[in-house]
Amino acid sequence: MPRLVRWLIRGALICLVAALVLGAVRALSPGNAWLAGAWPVYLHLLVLGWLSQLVTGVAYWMFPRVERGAAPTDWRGWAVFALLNAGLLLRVITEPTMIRGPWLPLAALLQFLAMTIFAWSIWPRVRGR
Amino acid sequence: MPALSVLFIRTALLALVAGSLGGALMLSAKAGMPARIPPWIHGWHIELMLLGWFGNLTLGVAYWMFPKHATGKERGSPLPPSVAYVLLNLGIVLSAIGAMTGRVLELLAVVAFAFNAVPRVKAFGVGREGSTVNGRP
Repeated sequence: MPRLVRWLIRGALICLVAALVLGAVRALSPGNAWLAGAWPVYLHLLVLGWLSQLVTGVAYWMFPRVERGAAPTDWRGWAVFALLNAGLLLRVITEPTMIRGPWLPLAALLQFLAMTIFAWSIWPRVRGR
Repeated sequence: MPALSVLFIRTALLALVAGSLGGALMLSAKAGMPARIPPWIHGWHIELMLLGWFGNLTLGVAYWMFPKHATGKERGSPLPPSVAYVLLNLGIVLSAIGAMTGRVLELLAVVAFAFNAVPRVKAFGVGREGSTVNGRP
C-alpha cells in the first residue's frame, strides 16, 4: 500500500473515532450548547473525514494507473490529504463556537479545494481498457 | 473498467465537486460570507453528496468489481445498470430541486441495478470449470 494511501486511511480512521467520540459525548450531555452546535461537525467527520477520505485513499491505491508502473499519485494526492484534514480540523474548532472572522469560510474553501483536486487528479484514471 | 462504470464514477466525481461547492457556500454563509444563500442549496448539497457522490460511486465500482459470470456476458446484461444510471441521476436532479418524483426514480434505479448485481453476489470463480468454493466443488 503506497505511503499516501496509508496516511489517507489513517486520517479516515482518526475521523471515524473522533466522530464516534463526539456522538457519544453529545448523547451523554444533551443540554450542552457547544455540543448541540457540533451536530454538523459530527456529520462531516463521518461523511467527509471518514467515508470520503477512505474513498480517496482506496481510489488512489486501486484505480488503474495511467501508465504501467506509474506512481499512485503526484503532489495533488498530498494536497488532498493536507487540505481536507486542515479544513476539517478548522471546522471542528470554529463551527460549534461560531468564532467570528474568516475561519469558517477558510475551512469551507479548504474542504472544497480538497475534493476538487481529488476529482481532478483521479479523473484520468477513471477510464476504459 | 467497463464504459458504464466510467460513466457512473465520472458522474460521481462531478457530483462531488458540485455538492462540495454547495456545502462550502452553506458553511461560509454561517459567517455571513455570502450574507444569503438560496434555501434550496441545503437539499442540493445533501442529494449530490449522498446519492450523487456515494450512490454513483458505489454502483459504478460494484458493476466493475463484482464477480463476473463464467458463461455468457461476463458482467451480465448492461441494460439494467444503464437504466439505473439514467433513473438515478434524473432522480437526483429532480429531488435536488424539490420534486418528489425524484425519490421514486431513485428507488426504481436501485431496483433496476439489483437485476444485474444480485446474480453477481457470489464467490469468485463460481460456475467456472473445475472451480471450488471453500475446497468444495
